[in-house]
Amino acid sequence: MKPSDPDSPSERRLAGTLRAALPPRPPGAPPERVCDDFFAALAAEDAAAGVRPPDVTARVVAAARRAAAASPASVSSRRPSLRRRVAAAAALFAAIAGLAGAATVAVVAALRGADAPPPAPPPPASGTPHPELRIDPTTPEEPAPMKTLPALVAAAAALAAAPAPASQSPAPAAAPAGESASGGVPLAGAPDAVSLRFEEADYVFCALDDPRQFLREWQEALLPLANAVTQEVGSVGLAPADAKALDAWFRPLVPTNSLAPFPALLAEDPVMGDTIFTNCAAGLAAVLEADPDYDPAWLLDETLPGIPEEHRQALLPFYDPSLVTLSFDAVPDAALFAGGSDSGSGADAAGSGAGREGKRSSSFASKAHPSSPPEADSSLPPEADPSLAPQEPSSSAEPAAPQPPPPPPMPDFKLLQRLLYQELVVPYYAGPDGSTYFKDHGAAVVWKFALELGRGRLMLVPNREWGGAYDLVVRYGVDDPFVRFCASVGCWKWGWADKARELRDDLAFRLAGGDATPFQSLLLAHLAQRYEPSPERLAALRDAFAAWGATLSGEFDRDDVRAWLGHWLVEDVAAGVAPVRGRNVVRDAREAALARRGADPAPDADPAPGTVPVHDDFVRDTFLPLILREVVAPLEAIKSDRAAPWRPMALAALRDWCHWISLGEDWPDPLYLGRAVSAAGRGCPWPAVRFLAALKNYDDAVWAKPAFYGRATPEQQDAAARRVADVLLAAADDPATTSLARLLMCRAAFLRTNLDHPIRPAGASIGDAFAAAFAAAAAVPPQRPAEARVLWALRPPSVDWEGVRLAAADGWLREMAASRAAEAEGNVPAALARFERAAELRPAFPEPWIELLRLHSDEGRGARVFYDEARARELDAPGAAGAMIDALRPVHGGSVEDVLAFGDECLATGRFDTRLPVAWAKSRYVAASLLGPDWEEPFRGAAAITNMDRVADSLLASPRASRQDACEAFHMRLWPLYANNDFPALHLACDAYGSCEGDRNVLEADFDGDHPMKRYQTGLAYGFAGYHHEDVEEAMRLWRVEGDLPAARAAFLARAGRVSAATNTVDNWEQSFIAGRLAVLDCTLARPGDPPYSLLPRIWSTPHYPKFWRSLRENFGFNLEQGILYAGRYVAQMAASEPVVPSNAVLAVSVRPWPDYAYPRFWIVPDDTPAFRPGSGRVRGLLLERCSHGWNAGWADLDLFGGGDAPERGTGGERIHLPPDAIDPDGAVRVELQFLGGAVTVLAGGKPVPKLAGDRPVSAARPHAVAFVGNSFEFLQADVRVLPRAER
Amino acid sequence: MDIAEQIRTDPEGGSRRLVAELGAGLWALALRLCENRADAEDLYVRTLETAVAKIAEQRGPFFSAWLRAICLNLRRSDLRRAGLPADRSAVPESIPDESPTPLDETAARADAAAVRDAVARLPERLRAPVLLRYWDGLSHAEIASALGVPESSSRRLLTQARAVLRAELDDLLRERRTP
Repeated sequence: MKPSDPDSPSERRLAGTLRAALPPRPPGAPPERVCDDFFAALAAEDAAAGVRPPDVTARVVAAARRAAAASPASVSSRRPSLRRRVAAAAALFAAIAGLAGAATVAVVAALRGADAPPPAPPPPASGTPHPELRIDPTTPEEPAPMKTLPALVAAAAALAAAPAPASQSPAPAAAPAGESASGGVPLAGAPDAVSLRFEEADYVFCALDDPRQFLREWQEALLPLANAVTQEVGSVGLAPADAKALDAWFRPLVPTNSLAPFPALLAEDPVMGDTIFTNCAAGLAAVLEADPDYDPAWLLDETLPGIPEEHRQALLPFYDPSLVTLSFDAVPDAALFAGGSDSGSGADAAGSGAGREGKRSSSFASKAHPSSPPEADSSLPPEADPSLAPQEPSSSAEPAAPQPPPPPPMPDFKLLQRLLYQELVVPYYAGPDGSTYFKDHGAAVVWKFALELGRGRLMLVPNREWGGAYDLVVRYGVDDPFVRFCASVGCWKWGWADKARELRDDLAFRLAGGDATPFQSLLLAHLAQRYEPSPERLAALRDAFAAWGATLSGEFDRDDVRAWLGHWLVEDVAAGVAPVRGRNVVRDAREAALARRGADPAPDADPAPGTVPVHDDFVRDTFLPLILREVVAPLEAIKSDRAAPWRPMALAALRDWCHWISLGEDWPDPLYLGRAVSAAGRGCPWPAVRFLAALKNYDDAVWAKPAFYGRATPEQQDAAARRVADVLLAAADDPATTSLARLLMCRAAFLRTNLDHPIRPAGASIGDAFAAAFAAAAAVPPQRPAEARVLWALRPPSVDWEGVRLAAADGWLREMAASRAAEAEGNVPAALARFERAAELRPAFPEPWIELLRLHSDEGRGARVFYDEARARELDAPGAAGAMIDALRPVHGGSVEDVLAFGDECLATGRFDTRLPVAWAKSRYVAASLLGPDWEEPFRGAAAITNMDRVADSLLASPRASRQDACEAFHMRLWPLYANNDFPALHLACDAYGSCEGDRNVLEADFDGDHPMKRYQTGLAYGFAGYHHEDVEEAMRLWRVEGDLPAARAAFLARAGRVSAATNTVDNWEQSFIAGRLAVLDCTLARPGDPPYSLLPRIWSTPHYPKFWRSLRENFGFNLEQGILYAGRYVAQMAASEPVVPSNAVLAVSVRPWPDYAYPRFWIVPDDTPAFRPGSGRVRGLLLERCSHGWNAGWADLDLFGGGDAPERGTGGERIHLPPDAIDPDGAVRVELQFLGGAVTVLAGGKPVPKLAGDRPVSAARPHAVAFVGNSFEFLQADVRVLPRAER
Repeated sequence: MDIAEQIRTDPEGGSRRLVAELGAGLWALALRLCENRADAEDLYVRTLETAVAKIAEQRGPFFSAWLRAICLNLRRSDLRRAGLPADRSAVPESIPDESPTPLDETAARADAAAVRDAVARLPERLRAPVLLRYWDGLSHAEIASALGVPESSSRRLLTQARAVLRAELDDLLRERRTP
């Protein structure tokens, strides 16, 4: 909200009205009592008018007595509860990280904090106290009480002066320059000097209450949610005036050769509403108290004002702001500026809030830059950092060239950063003006670039930054040369050579007038040589470097600076080893490790038929050329259109479309669609272009946010869908539209419309058209074997496989599917052995038996023995009943009756205090899916409604109920209501539930005359599980036909290893894209004689979305449940059978931030594969992510061995780091994590690590708050060095 | 000893002190949040009962603000339960006739009371800057200092508060615009 002009007539009128209406204020009254005085004045006025308060003293006294008589702890423990939880988590972290002393202290601190009365607020220590900020700088010596920031500041200064304790990261060596106004205590930064700078850089935080706003905006963007999410908001961030404040607040990760990041979480206390910061050790770092009138239901009340109270109560859990946790890495950048902190910075920032450019520019410009000694962490030799090791040529596109010399020793990193700040950031702010938004947005790009360039890791700049620059240039026309440079680099990186050249040439043109700084010219020359090397360009690059080097002066005039930057900017590209697609240190490390093991790290040639290409080159060499050839080339060849004015625009739109498809993007921002609309509007007749235009129209009508477009009426939406269908029909008759182009169009229509709108007058649906287009495309033998995989990846979810198999006359499909089956079969013995071993090791645990039940599901009723074993250990062992139901399917020799009988058996136990009766519901779903057209039968009758209500009620009433249960309970009720045609009740239930978008219309629309089993909103069990079934079923059938096929275990291992490596590199969305192709498994479709454990990988072709194309809400909004249905047991089963994630010293375990239902335990079972070397510091655990693509997934089905790394940002899990020396390789390690009322137990080698007491029971009102354990290190993993225990 | 601490250690004495010292101001707020005296009385006593029941959760120096927040939240809950919008933009009806009201005396006094009521209904975080600005006549910098927030934040709060007040006092201001 912009401040209004105080001199405007309306403001003057309001001010006059207010002043006239307010009674006189007593002179000299303290300002902090202004509200009290105001109400006292009102009370006096009322009293004068005879309106006096009733005498309620007796009632209040009685209430006070009642409260005192009740347990004082029960009401007073709310506040310490969070602290205790966090401290307990911190203690776990510390314990498993070897920080036993710190763990003890943390626990003691928590307990003391819990037992002690609330501390009195300490007196303000300096001029501008912020009464709301309190800090917990947990120190080993003494558990610190909550303090105000000034107290923290003093504490931090004291810490800095005192010798660093052994278990703490070293305190900064030098005291800051500033002095406080009181007592000469050195200030590490006044409260107002703390500023946050996230990568979403239109937020400039110069005030302590701004993080709260920042968090609020994310909450607004992400809610409603069924489960907690953790959203990564950036790796460049918190920038107080002095790093000491960060040291006091947050714990740094220990980098080997770069700036230490301070991982932190920002979230809302679920009980109190406070905004809290935690450090990487999960310690509570700071608290911003909530406003006294803060109402956590604010978003719900804003979104759905005035809804009936019962609906409101039902929806409240989905709108709980504490579901959102922001994760970021704070980087102290004050040290980058000479003098670090200055005492004036607080005062400067205090009144401004004016953005950082002024502040930073002036900070930098007004200071000299004395050379500071290198930090301890930056003095390590560069060879310690794998990212700085000499590169290997990784692309066949690069010419063979001699290896460059190893990089020279890295100069003082902070000196480098100062230099790059001067060379990049200062000119940026001096550059062309844009709006504040764009300027700040670009600043994030520039700053990130500078940071990474200083590390010699230019290509590790996240794609978000490149994409952001591209976005700024292409969409918003930002003129800044550096932003254009970044956009150009991004285009090169993505392989958009035409665009990259265009941007580069444009940039050269803009800078030709001599406006470029020497460093800008150098970067431009570097860019030219990097991507299109030539002797001339190399000479120009050397000249540019020499010219720039001549400008160095002062502290920067150093040989090591020249050598370092010369290496990265000149020598590596001169040697021709700079990979075109960027360098990925994680992938490099992974491939190097594989090479050491003798495995094939990355087959560049066409892999064996049937293997999944998890490789960038596949996209570049096969996928993209193929679809360009099939979609664009035929249209380019049409001579009659050569002179058409719309032609360039149409071709550009289609090329962009192909690019995005090749990158796995089915739902990008409608940028290129806009071009298609323009081209179609100018008369382009090409069906593909008209299709894209129709799709844009549909998007606007159906998916666009009301804030921008206004919600279209259902009629408009139908019309838009019909237009899409009409274009598809037209494409069928167009000779220039190839079968693959039609397939792509149908697929896009199917995925984007997500509705089976009928295609009139053909009487078919878009889904049918998709299947038909696939059959047609499959009938054409691929020109190259690798192209078969494209078709495999593009196949529809429901397709007549027999028809396709017949159509694919050359058998390519058969070969591929069969080889997948063989791969899967190769894994079975290992999986069996592992679970049997686990059952021996942990006889009390049901999980091994559940997994064995799944492995033996082909035995049908015979598998009951495993179910009984699991049930004997835990009555409602998660997943056991579901697995038993699967075993009773007809494909395993069972029947619908068996399934129903088993459900009845579970219900008849009457154990509504457990989740066993839920199996009754599942049995109905399964039976419904087996009955096909008669699916309603299991739900018919009043008894079904009653039973379902009982099950749903028990689910909700369970003390372990999760948010997901609330969703599930709603869905449960829908099925029998629908089957019994009770539409009024159905609509009521839908209203109560709402939709993922908080828009009830979506759900209502989906129900009108529709089949609920097609809808993911209601297709609880089968909406998307069916997505995989045909795939698996067909593969199984082919396996039977083909018989004995060679196992492909090694290839599978290699592929999965690359996948897992990729999942640790989420900042690189090329890699993330690959990670998204995780194999998906299913075990429910085997038939007698089939392999008992169907581990059939499947390419997931629509995985990650480039983040910059998507708004915040889009990232999380539309398919919350879709993600839930996708994820879970498929991936987890693969994880269980194939532990493939080596971690270079840190083992990440994903934990669930909600109570113990469904997946309370994570197992790490000793691995017997050769790569596991006890004592080597490498741990191979049963780790894989629990969701291939993201958010909020895996709620119920992760009920087997294997933990999960949750590499995808925002999956909702938090991570702890389990160092290898916490694990005894001779025994099982069990990590049991139960949040919010659970316990944390670590058993290493049979010896229990002291168990941390569980917290009090979860509050019924807010049962699923977020707790924080650990942090993630993401792409910085390669930099992280885990300290040996002795050094901690 | 502050009131909260006294209630914790001496429930009876602390409660009496609570009613005696803060009851009047709270009653003034309750009157302005409710549309009749009966509701106001109910809200008033429930606020006090809730406060003493939750006294263990109270912390910090802003006890009276905390008390008013309880009152506001209870009223919001009542409105929601009744199916009414929790944040009413319209100025509530005057208090019924059974008790004398200052709003009836003169039109001018009614206007002033309406303004004061609107200020009273503001959330605490918005009310404080308004009062500091228009009652104490402080500058933006002084307001920021008093609130312990940067000046930018205090300006923003003030802007928000003015927007709310303009919406609440729309009729009144329109009359003044067209004399």
